[in-house]
Amino acid sequence: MAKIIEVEVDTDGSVQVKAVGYPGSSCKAATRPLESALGIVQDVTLTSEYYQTAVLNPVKRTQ
Amino acid sequence: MSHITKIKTVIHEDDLDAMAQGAVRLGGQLVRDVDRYKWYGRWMRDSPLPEGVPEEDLGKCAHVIRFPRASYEVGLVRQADGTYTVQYDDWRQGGLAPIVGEGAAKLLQAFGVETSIAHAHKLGHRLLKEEKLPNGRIKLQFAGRF
Repeated sequence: MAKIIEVEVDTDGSVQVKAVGYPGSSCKAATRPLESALGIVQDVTLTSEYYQTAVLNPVKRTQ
Repeated sequence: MSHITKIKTVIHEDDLDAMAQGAVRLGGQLVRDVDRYKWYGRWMRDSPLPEGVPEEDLGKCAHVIRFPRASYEVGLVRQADGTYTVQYDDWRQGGLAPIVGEGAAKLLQAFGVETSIAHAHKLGHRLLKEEKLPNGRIKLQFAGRF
């Protein structure tokens, strides 16, 4: 799946940044530099995909 | 999509090129190092003063944005922390309100688009698409660098 960063600029100038196609928490690393350059982070919402990917990649434990 | 981050955009010194491009989107021009923006010239007490701005500082700025169809100008006012705020007189005869929108919303949206594109490019992301959505938002799609 292609890795896409989507930015939506609202009618008041505020911005929403979304990462598409980034597995699990890697989306945060991908978008954080852009977010911090643009201004002040007001809210972060984790979507179901964030958690689903984490379940699909469990840590293997050995005894 | 695995997370959504909402950001209040801030106008930094190195974002002035993006503000200039945003002004162009609305048919205007940013002119640097102009210390007064055109307005009525006297506070009529018919609206609150901008937050943190004393009456004697109205009209003072660091840069202006001019629009051919407006007699008044938008001022970019430098704050103590080095960031900028937008100030202007929205009196109808000044001509700015229909161009920059209520609360300068149209100008801030145009700036938001241009600064997003500029910062994304600096980070190595490539703009794929710009689209105006039915709800008025502008959507940008970038090919992620990573």
